[in-house]
Amino acid sequence: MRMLMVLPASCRAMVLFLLGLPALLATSLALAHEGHDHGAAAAPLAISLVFDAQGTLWRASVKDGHVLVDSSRDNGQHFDTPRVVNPDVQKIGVDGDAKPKLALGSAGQLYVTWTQALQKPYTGYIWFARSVDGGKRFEPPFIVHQDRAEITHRFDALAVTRMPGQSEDRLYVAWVDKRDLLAAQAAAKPYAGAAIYYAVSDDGGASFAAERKLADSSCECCRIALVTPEDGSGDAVALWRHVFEGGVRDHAIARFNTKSVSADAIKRASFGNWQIDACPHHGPALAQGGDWGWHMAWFDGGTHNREKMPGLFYARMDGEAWVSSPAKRIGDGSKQAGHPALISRGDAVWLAWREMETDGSRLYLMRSQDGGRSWGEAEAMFNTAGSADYPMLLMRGTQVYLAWNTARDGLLLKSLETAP
Amino acid sequence: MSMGDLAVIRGRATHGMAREIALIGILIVVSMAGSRWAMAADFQPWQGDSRRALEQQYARKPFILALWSLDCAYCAEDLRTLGAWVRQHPHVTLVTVNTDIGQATEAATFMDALALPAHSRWQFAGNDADRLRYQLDPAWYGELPRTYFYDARHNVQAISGRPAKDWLDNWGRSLP
Repeated sequence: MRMLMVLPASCRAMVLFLLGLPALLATSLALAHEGHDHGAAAAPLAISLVFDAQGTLWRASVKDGHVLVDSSRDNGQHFDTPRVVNPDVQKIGVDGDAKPKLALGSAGQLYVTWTQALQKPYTGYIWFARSVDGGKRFEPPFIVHQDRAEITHRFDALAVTRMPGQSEDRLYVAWVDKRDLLAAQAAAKPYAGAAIYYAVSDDGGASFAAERKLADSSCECCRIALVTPEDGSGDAVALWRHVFEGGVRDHAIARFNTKSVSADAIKRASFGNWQIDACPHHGPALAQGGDWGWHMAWFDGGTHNREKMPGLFYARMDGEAWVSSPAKRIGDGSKQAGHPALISRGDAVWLAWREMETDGSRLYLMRSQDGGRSWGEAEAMFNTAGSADYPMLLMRGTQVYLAWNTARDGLLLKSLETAP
Repeated sequence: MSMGDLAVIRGRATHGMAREIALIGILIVVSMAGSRWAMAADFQPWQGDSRRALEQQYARKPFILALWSLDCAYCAEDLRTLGAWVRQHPHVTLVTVNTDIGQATEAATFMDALALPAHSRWQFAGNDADRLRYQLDPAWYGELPRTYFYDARHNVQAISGRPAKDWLDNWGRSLP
């Protein structure tokens, strides 16, 4: 510095400026990085929640390239120090319908899946990790699928069940996979959409068997609703947006297990005839309906439905066909009613969704006490002025909760009136 | 530049060398403005009122407002089609908006690979893509590609999914 003092003032200024330039550039790049490559510094709002048998609320979230799991003993008022599930930083899918998934094992294990976005657009890997010590620590994560091509494996879904007489949980992980599309393109054959693949673990998530195909021609960018029915079958049921003949993006449902899935296991589940070559980013919701079938909620784009209007719909289905018709239109379509959540307990059913407001968004809830045959009025439950995640419905013992993660108001959680 | 050096600079400033400091300041401001300009050349920040502003900017001119995202499997092909089309119809302005907040690098790489004709590129800004979408068009539910075709009178046709080539050509012929 002293040496500089012999230079004329303007030269000194230039030298000082040049000395400072690398630091300045680094600062402005860091700012650009922060401002542009990660949006707001806040963690994404897309989270998953589950209550354990003791009533502790567990949360999976994403921050700075890590999936984090933390827990709360006071219904989400305070959370403990998060466990880092993936030690290495990854780009993790949290846009649109993507979020990390969290499920509880039959002996308090915690199971987590997420999608790592790879370098090329649309590509990803599905990761899994578990905790077998009640959430104290997570075992090293691994990729669920054996196919390691840098292609689409995205929109993970996770469900857990326990086969009678088995000591370990059975886990299903399903995802959207483009290997068949790419094979068809390489062979110059037509192929609509992507495919749904799934892998099963019969040792509580220690390992997964080689993946199987559930269905060809799924939508490419919508979440899969995956449920394990409480009937001792060990089966899983998936509801997903499908690409039917003519580019119609209605829904398909299938019950499956560890055996190959035959084509006739896949049933059409919605009939809006939304014909579009586009990514709706709007997947369905599914809940078990007693011992007779399924509650389903989904978004339809309205090109060909009865009123020619986009909107949210509800219908009931047994394994083969609808048991009520027509589909019930839900919420206010002019406020973008969407992103439904469903939960059921016996004949009680709860259906939640989100609507946009001029200055924020609002969560609505509808209840049925007769297995979805009739429904009460829509009730406004929460509103928030800033950005917000999609609604979640979860069970704490036999008590149903509505949850919503918001930027302004934090995690909102409300216990819902539940018949004894 | 160490903290010591900064201390020296501060020390000198108190000794009447403000002119020197001012010059450094000017150089810093100029260089930051330069880097901001370079960023802006990539993507302009799309905000709640950007559609209205764009409509004013292109008053009495036909333009195509095309929204796309990185995970939209149909968007690349759609953008290529629109790019080729405006190349043949240079009186129609193309404006693209990427809806992926905070992914400027990936979005720019994606766009550059498409080699579209030079046009104004925007990206959703802030942290609430749902709200920006709703402000842009309450009747748009987020399906992509989503394109707004403005004729010179600003009669608008909104299309979700890829418009057919015939439709595009017909629309082009209908322009006054």
